[in-house]
Amino acid sequence: MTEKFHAKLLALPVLTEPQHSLIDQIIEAFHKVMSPTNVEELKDAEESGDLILFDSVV
Amino acid sequence: MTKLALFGGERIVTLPYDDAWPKIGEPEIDAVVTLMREGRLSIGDGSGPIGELEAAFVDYTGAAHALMHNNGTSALHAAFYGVGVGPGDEVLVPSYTWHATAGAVVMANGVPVFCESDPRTLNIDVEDAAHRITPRTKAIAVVHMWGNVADMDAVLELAKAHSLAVVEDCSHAHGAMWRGCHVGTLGDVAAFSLQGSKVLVAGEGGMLITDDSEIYDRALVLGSHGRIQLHAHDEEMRELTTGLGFKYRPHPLGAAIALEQFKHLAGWNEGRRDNYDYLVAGLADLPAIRVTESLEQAKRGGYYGTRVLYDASKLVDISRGALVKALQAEGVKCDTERYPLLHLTPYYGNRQRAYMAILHLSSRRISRRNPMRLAICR
Repeated sequence: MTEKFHAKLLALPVLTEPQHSLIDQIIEAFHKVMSPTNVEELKDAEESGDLILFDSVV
Repeated sequence: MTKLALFGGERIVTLPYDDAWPKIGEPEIDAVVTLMREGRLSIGDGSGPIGELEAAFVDYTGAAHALMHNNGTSALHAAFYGVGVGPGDEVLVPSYTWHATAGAVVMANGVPVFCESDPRTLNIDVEDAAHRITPRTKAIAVVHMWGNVADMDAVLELAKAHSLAVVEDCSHAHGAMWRGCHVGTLGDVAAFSLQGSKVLVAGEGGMLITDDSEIYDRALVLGSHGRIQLHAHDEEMRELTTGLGFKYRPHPLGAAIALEQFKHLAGWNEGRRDNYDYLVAGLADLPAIRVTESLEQAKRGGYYGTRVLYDASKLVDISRGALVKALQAEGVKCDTERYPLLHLTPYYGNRQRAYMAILHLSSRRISRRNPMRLAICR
């Protein structure tokens, strides 16, 4: 079970000072990347081998 | 939606990150310079800033005793030694934690028995841990991962039922609480890291806290022998001039820095809490992103890291690597998990392979000297 969820973990920054404007941009970036059109484009790039991936997890 | 920055579009994140850490001000610098001018660069009796920081921890957490160490790992070692972990004793440890949690068990000649973690909280799965208890199980190690408090009701119930000591690793969670009590005061003993990336910084340093004077005394014997005669509660122990010979004495300059940093802890935790809550609320409507849950009795603290789970199946199976790459191109500081699962790491994994090889080659005689054997059998 742990191995399954461990492979899904994303690490995001820790912010201490008030930075809601920055966080708004981070949230917007997530929504942009995960929009249906961009997801399809990412998927195509991944399947075609155009995207050189990394995944440092053990 | 605009074109991905990864493919030549404009990046979304343009504002600078104010995430430099630690935040060192003039008071920290003045405190260090003062100590240097006084020539107080080694304090063996726990006086000065070391004693003051220990008193601050006692005052803040409500624990009866605090003993500063030179790092969180040595504080963990003292914690396991303090509760009596010895040769062959098994300690339940989550596999998903920093290696120091398990390494400290090994340093005490114990055997870490790796447990699953609960994907909802990322903390030890108590139900799984219960299945791994044997007559040799001595303790359970609880790590409040990334500042999220483990299910301490379940942990304490399990510990009580099986007479297990509870060691809390609070290195991610300074200021976190469970039912209004500070983490570190719920089990028998706790260790905090004060390393330079933690919310409370000594540069390098650690703190052991406990209500149990016997555990405190044993921690003194393990690594703070200069204080045994002064601070041991056991009269006979006070006759000892030395302990086991480790020197886990902290550097006074680190204590002086941490004393100043302590003044900001509550405010920093509030700032981190506000930012964390704001971020996860903004991600909540994304079906492929799941944030970790806080149990209702818990209040996060420390916020050593921010972790979310990405479920590729909810996003036409875009790999995690592709997602991270696209987010990074947009200017998001984002990466895959950096903590490996300990049962898969070379140190513990090799022992598993070695043991399996022994098992395969010889059914006549199996070495019982390898303490790891106990952990890897299950």
